[in-house]
Order: sequence, then C-alpha cells, then structure tokens
Amino acid sequence: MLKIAKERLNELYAAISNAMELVLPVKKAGEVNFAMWAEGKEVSLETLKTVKSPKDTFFPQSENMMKFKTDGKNIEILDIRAEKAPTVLFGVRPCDYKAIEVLDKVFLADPVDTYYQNRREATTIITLACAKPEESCFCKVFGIDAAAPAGDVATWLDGDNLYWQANTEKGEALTALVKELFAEGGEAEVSAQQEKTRAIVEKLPFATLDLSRLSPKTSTIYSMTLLGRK
Amino acid sequence: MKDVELKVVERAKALLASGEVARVVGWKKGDFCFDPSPAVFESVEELDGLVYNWFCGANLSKYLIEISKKEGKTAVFLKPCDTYSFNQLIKEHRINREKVYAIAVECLGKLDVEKIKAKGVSMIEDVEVVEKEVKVATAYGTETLHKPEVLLTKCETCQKTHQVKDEEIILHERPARDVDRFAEVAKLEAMTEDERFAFWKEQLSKCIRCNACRNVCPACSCVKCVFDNPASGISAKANDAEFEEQLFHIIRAFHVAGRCTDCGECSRVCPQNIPLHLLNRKFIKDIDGFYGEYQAGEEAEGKTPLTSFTEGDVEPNDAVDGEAK
Amino acid sequence: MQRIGVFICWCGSNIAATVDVVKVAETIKNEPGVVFAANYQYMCSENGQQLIKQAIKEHNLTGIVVGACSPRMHEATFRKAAEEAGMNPYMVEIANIREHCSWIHKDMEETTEKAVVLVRTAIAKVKLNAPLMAGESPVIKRALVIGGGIAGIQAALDIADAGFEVDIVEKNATIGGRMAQLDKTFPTLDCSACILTPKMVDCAQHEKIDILSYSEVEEVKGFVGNFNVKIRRKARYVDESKCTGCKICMEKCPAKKGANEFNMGLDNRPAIHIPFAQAIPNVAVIDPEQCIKLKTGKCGICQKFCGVGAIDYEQKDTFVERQYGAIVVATGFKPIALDNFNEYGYADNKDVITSLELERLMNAAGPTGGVLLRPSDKQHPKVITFIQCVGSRDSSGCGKPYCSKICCMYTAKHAMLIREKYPDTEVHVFYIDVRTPGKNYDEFHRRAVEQYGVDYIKGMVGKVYNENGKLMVQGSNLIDNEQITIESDLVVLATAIEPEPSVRKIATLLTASIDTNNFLTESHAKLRPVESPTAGVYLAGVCQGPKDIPETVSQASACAAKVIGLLVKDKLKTNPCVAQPDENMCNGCGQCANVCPYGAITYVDKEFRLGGGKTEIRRVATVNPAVCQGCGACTVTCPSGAMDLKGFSSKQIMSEVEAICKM
Repeated sequence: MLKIAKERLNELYAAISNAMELVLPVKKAGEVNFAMWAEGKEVSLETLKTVKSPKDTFFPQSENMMKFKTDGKNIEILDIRAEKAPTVLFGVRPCDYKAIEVLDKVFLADPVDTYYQNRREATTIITLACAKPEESCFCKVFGIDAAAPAGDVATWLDGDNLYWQANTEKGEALTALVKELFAEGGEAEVSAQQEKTRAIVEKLPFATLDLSRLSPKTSTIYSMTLLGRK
Repeated sequence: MKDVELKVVERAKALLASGEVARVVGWKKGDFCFDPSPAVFESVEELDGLVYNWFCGANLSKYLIEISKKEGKTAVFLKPCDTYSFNQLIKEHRINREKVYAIAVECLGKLDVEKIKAKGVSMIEDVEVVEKEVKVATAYGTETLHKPEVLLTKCETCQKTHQVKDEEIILHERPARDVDRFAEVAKLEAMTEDERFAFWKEQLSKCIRCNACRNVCPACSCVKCVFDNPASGISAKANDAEFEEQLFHIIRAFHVAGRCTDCGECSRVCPQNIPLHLLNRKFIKDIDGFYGEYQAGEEAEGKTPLTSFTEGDVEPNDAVDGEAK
Repeated sequence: MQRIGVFICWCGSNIAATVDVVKVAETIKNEPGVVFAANYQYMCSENGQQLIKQAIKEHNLTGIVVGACSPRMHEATFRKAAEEAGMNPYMVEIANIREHCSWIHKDMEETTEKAVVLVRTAIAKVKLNAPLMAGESPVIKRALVIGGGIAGIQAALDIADAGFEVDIVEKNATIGGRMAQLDKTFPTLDCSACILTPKMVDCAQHEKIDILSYSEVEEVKGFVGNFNVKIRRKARYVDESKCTGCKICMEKCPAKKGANEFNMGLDNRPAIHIPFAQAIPNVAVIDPEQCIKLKTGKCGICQKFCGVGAIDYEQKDTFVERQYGAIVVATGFKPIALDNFNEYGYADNKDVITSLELERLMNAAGPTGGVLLRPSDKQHPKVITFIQCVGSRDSSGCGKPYCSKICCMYTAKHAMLIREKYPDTEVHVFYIDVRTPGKNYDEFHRRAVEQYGVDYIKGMVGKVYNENGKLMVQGSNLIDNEQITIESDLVVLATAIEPEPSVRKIATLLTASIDTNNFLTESHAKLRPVESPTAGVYLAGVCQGPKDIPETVSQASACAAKVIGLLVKDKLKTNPCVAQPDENMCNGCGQCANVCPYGAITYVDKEFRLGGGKTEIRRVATVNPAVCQGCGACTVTCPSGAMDLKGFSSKQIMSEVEAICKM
C-alpha cells in the first residue's frame, strides 16, 4: 500500500501526464465529467458520480471509422485508424469498473471489435473506492464491493491522503513510474474506511433489492455478466 | 403540503370512480421522496400511488397530446406554469380541450434535489417546508436549508398564474413578488461577443445529445422531429463536432421561438445542468421588445407575433443590430 | 437510373468569350449520371432546340440541364422543347452561366471553373426533380381599379368598353385625382378640367363601371383570376343615394375653418363640402375633424336645411367583399413635403409656394378666382422666380434621387401663361437642365424663351430669405459665371413628386414589388412595363414612375389591354411548383396558414394507420394548388419540415449547396 498527501495530488497528475494521457473527473461549467487533465484544471475526486460514466474512453458516442474520397466515378477508401496513445483513466468508481468488465465480455469476445480493443489495451484503469455512498447506490445487490474496487490500480481517498494499491501488471508498470512521489503505508486507514463504507452500504435502501422478478433468461445473463458466474 | 396532496388524491379518486373521467394524469411516488414521476392512473386502486409534493416539478401537459386521443375524458393536474403549455398546445390543435378535465393545483414553488445534495446533504428520507425553511430529514440527522436557495431554477422567477381550469385545488395563496426573469439574460447581453461566445461554448460542450430537453419540451412535439429525420439534413444522434453541439440548441431554440411558454422544463431535465432556458428567454425578451409584450400560452387562440405581419413591425436591420425598442 | 443530358450554350460570344464552353461540356461528361453532353452556339435557336429534342429521344434522357442565360429568358423555351420531345417539362433545369458567370467575371480560367460548378449544381438538382403537372384555375370576369385619377379613369373606361365590369375604388370623396387640380395642361394648353370631366362623367354613366368613392382597399386574398377583396366604404355622414349636390349644406355650415385640400390649403372650406364643382359623385362629405355636430353633439344645421334628408350623423364605415380577376393599381402621387429644404424659406414665407399651389392660384375655380395674387397681401406679384429641381435629382439624401419628369414642362407652361396674362411681370427660372423630350415639348419651351421672354438662368439656388418684406433669391448663374440675387415678390418651387404614401399598404396587400422610392416595380423595364411581377396586378400612372398625362393615358390603356387579355380567358394554367405537405409528418399546428399570403392552406382531419390494426384521426394541412404561388413562406415556417415545395424541395436546395461546396 502506498500513500500520497492530498496537497501533492497535482504532482502525481503532472507526473502521469508527462508519460501518458491522463483522463480523470474534471469540473467544468459547474458539472464534473471525465476529461483530459491539464495544468490548471479543477479535478474533483470528492464528487461521488460524474454526470457521464467513463465509458466514452473506450466507447465514444461517435468516431470516424474510415474516410473515402470520390473523384468522378472513382471511390478511394482511406484507412484512418491510429494506435491509441497510452492512457491512464483515473477515478473510476467500483460500479463503473464493473460496467467496463461487462463491455469487455461483449466487445473483446469473438468477433473482436478492434477499435474498442485498441483503446482498452492502451488504457490503465485506476479505480477509486467510495467513502460516502448515496441512497440510490445499488452496488451491493450486484455483488460489487464499493470499498474494494478491482482495476489495474485501486485507490482510496480520505481527508489527508490518497492510498494506492496496484493489482495487475499494468498497474505495477504505472506504479513504477510514479513511485518516488509516494510513501509506504496506509493499510490501517484504508481498512478503517472500508469498514465504515461497508456499514453504510448495508443500510442503503437498495442493498436488498428483490431480483426474483427477473425472468429466467435475464437472470442467467445477469449471473454470467455481472456476477461472473458460468 | 400534505393537506393539498390529500385533496388531490380525494378529487382524483372521486372523478375516476364516478366515471366522469376515464383516467387521471398526475405524479406517482418514486423510489424516494424526491423522485416522483409523471404517470397515468386508470383505477382507483392505482391512485393510492398518486402524490403531490415539493418535488412534483414535471410539466404534465405534453403527455395529453397522445393521452387525450383515447376514449373518454382525461383529468390532469396543472400547476400555473403547466397551464400555459397546455393552452399553447390547444392553440396548435394538438390537444382536444373537450377531452380534458383540467384541475388547477396550487404551487408555492418546487424544490431541486440536486441543489439540496450540492449542499452536502445526502441519504434524504423526507422533506418538509414551512415558509422559507426547508427541513430535510436524513439518515444523518435533520438539515435546515433556505428555500430560495434550493428552488428549481424555473421557480426562482416565476410569476405565473393559472390560465385555464375546470376546477381548482388552492389552499394557500402564493405571496406576490417582484422578480425580473430576464436578469440573467441581461447579464449575458452585457458581455462582449467573445465573452458570451466563450460562456455558451463552455456550457454547450457538456451536451451529450441525450435529447431530454427536446423530449420534455411541450413545444417540441412534432410528429417527426427534424433531428430524427435523415431527410432534414440536420439529424444526428451524437455531437461529433463542436459545431453540431452548439447548433442543435440554437436550431431548437429557433424552432420553439414564439411558442415557448418559458415552463423551464428543458433546464430542469438536463443532466449536465446547461441553462438552456436562458436561450429561450433571450428570444422571449427580443420578441417582447420588437413586437410588444407577448406570453405564449396566455390564450388558447389568437395571433402569434412571429407568424403574423403587422404594419410597423420592426425592420430587419434594426432587429439584426439587436436594438429591441 | 438517371440519364442526364447537358447542353452548354455559347450564346454567341456572350458566354463563350469568357467561359471555355467546350471544356465545360467535356468536363461535365464525367459527372455521375450524365450520359450526354454537348455545346452549341445558340441553344435557344431552332437548331439548338432540335439538338435537345434529338438527344432526348436518341439517348433516352430522363432529365436535362441547359447551361445558358438566365432562366427568366428561356426556361419556358427549353421546357417547351423538352415537352415536345416527350419529356415532362419540369425535368429541365437551367444553369445560369451568363448573368451569374460570364457577364460578371473576366478571368477565363476562373470563369470556366465557376461555370462547371454551376452546371454541376443544376445536375444535382435535376437528379432530384420529379415530373409535375400544371393545373387550371377559373377567371372571374371583373376588374378592380385602385385609384380614380386620370390613369384609373382611362383604364376603367377601356376595360368597360370591352364589355367587362369594373370597380373604381378611390380614397377621396371624388374621382379626378391630380388632373382635376390643374389649370392648363402642356403642350396644348388645354384646360385640364375641360378634358378630364367628360371622362369622369363617362365613368359615372357607364353601365359597366361602379365607382366606390371615399373607399379604401382593406384586404386582398387570392390570386390572378380569383382575387377576393374587402373594401372599406368610409362614412360620409351623407346618404349618397339621396344627396342632389345642391350645396345648401355648404352654404349654411358654420364650421368654415377647415383647410381646403383641393386648393392645397390656400383657403378654407366648410366641414360639410363637395370637394370641387365637377366632383363625381356630386355628393357632399362631412369632415369629422371639423364638424361641430360630430365633435360636440351641438349644431346639426346642415341636416335641418337639407331638402332631401340626406344627412345621417350615425353613419358608420361599412365593408363590401367582391371578387375580381385582375387588379389595376393607379394610386398616383403627391408633392414631397419640404421639411428638408428650409433654405428655400417655404415654411416662413407665405409667398414661397409650390407649383401645385400656383396651379390653384392661376385656376379660375381657385382661391383667388384665377387672378394671380400673392398669398401674403393679395397683391399682384411683379417679379416671380421659379426654382427647379427642388428635391429632385438629389443625391444628398434630403430629397429624391430621381428626376420628377414633369417639372421642366410645367414651369415653362406657368412662365408662359403668366407672361401672356401679365406682360409687365418679370419671370425668372433657375434650372439645372431643361428636359423636354416629348412630342412638341421642345418647341413649347423655346416659345417660352423666345416668344415670351422668360429669363432662364442656368444655376442652382442657395437660399431664399426675407429682406424688408422682399424675397431675396440667391443663386448661381453658371453661364455668366457669377452669383446673382433676384429680389422677388413670389417664389415658386418645382417640388419633386413621390408616390402616394398609402401605396405601401396596397403593395403589401397585393404582395406587389415596390422599390426604395415607393414606386411599384414593373415586371420588366423594357418589355413588360405595365405588369407587376405579381400575376394579375397591373400598374398605371405615376405609381409606377414619374410621367406626364399623355404617358399616363397610354399606360392606362396598355394596362386595360393586358387586363382584357386576361379576363377574356375562361381558365388559367397554374404553375405546378407549389407547396405540398407530407401528411405523415404534419402536426396540424396551423402555423403555415398564418403566414400564407394567399390563403392557400386549410386543414382537414385524416385517418392514419398506426399498425396493429389501429388507426387515428389527425388534423393535417392541405394546400390548394390553384391558389398557391410557390413563395415558400410556409416551408420555412413549418417546424418539422413537413411542408415542402415541389420543384424546389429542401433536399434539392441542399443538394445544390453540397454540389457547390464539393469543390
């Protein structure tokens, strides 16, 4: 477990941004959405949910897939695909990360969507655990642990620090890049926060949604995609 | 408010039970106290779910376009602002007045749960309003907020009164107030061109083309919307260019100009909180200046300034220079 | 599969001198959809048209584009040629590579490039053309003449003599117009009233002519052959059917302070009055601003003295609605106001007058009984100075930019008549040019100079001021190269004339073109001078442009000929390029009908299938193709784009824009 003081987060962003593209929750015109980081932008990790999910990073609303040129009666097709630059997606909530896993099941299965794959493989995902879930949060009933998110790197934020734990190879590689900004430790604080969060989640109105109304077919899909059962 | 709600449910049940109406359009309770949604009630039992509280901001008039075509009469609860869009839809022959039983229901303003949450209040369980105090009961205790700070934006400058009713449920009179609904528009007008462009560019860059504004707007009720029609040349499902995201809103504002009743729903439903109502209010301010004060929906018939020519209408040059006299 | 034929015209050297027409035809051969491309010197000629007809048949063409002059010239020609070859005439598009290209650019490379773009654009449009069929509409055999001056009177008489019914609507209480106010007319020096009043009486007595005096056109709906007009008959407070014109009411009326409009305000007339002696109808009218009874409820003397009980103080404006096949506009003119010309001292000096005021002073029926006395002291003026071009040919913005045409002649007339009647009176005329182009006009002016000794001074007047009771006219004498000041007793300003202001409202009602000087615009300056671009509307007299009486009468008769040519038909062919609503998209919101200037749109309830066996009834718009003029206002107003224009659909226009931008 690594930790970095909240006041120094800007240095972390700058360090990551030097090496790769950094996308995180940015406040613009009064609303918080995932956007590219740049010096001077207002990052907002305290906001529980961004207005739009981070899906756009892998699955943009629209994109140019190819270009073609006509000259009289001739048509020429131009391949405009480009390799996605290495990207870090920072501040993804546990529920949003689960959604990305579901998208993977669809777009990385045969036939593979190469546009999606290109972006997915180039991106390192840093998740951010939730400390203050809302009444409309439904993570528990879908088997998502709001206090222990998956992802290449999992992070927790409290009043003083950001806590950092790499989970995958990609995560380790990224950690290596920024290690000198961090100090060791934070397990206790993280544990404390996790306990608190889980306690709140138990009491949420949607902690015990009745899913028995799902049809058998929907129930199977739900099991396989969300709960990861075969 | 509970007393008004009781009366609302009582009248709805009576009208449905007696057969005077075949269905009731109102709001039904959501998962929480702050998310009622518009609904059609077709039996007295269903009406147990009918609510009327501080979060019933939704304008019900647009649903009547389709619903009033059905057999029998439809009862609907209309807040003051809703009655203007109701009238405007009658004027445009979209709603058959005879098939609707309009109940004018009192309104002392509706609250914006986003604004309440922005004040750091969460796990809301119940909300009560006494005069200018909003008491929010949460799992973490009770918070007291100042009503003017958590009203829906559209309610902040509202001076509307019921324009149409077959009966009314008004237990508390709304105090008169002196508000200028064009204050924000005037601020934008006072900016330089570059400042104003920068403002709108920033706001509109948030747009995700969810089309909620278009879908909720009573004036946007075309059988086939130009934005859904490939033949129009401007249909699009996403903003794939900056130009696209800016033009969608400007085109839509032009399409509803002169017909927009300033119900404020567009801004209320925008998930990105883009102040769309300011675009429409600018049009209304200009129309008032060029053609004399005009409130769409005040009457269910009569001339509309933008589709009727009168001698003495403003000359194009004066209009373009923005000098509304 | 489209098979488009393209024909590029040289137009002799009009196009070929600046556009490489051969290259254009060669380039356009490669355009998708084009199966035939040719160029020829004169496409509109017999040979050129043969070329088109042959190509249509040989190559099975589905549509053609002609790159040539403006469609206003030969669109009809090429449509006819296509029709004769068996192609629907609306599958023809014209690319204007002359007025829009070869005539306005110089560089051949650029011009050729532009010509290619223009032809490509027309090809893009014709690919989306659909065959259209012209319709028919009936013709109401009755004409409306707006304005009862000499132009309106002449037109009405000619139309009525051909056997058609005519209504004259005149806003004043009597017909006659300006000509009734004139004394003598140039170049013959006929007494104006003597030649006018017989025509006025003819109108009154003609069984086919109905005069609606003291009336105004309130509303016009419809289109050529079928105009529906609402006319306001203003309240005279006198029953026209009873009044005998005995004038006792005028004698007895105590309210005698009203300015006499007929005498240009030089004297007064009573509140109840007949405008002039030969008024038609010879019926009194009460001026409600001057009448004591109408303003305070007291008096009523005229009613007491009226022998036939014709006075009716309760009379109200009434409305009549009538149908007409054609409308003639003959609304005439007025002298301009002199607010911008203070240098001439008109406002401050009673003895600075306008030419029309002088006409009244010289007229035997005028305020001074035809004796020329100056307004201030009723003395005979010994020195009279005329100032020409007051407010005409003015590029400063104070007056009018145009020449008012009649002033050179009428000033020569005034000068001559004064010198003849009062040989001891000095007459000076300050002029810029003397314009006398008509038959016997120049001889007329020369008589004034040579025979009657009128002193013509070439130069403009800077100012007129009062010095010790004398009017000092300070101006230039350019021929002698000096400044001169003439001490005058009377100064006459030849004021510019402008169209009657009420014509603006009429133009709007008729959707007739009007220019920045408020003159109604003719369809073509040379070839169609009496028709308005709006079908069924014709123009006569000064409302179309400054002119004298002979020209006015000619134009009025020409109008009548056009009207007769129209009314003699039983049916008119209608343009099929009209609006059409897509009923599946129409909301029935009613906005289109609000903006239609012709009242072509109405609404019906239609049944639509929804699928699943369900149907619903929806209100949708429907366009009367005979009434619609294809202006397109409804297509712009329609929020959903359901309303479109046949032959000029939104898609076609956008395809043209795209073809241009594709460069």
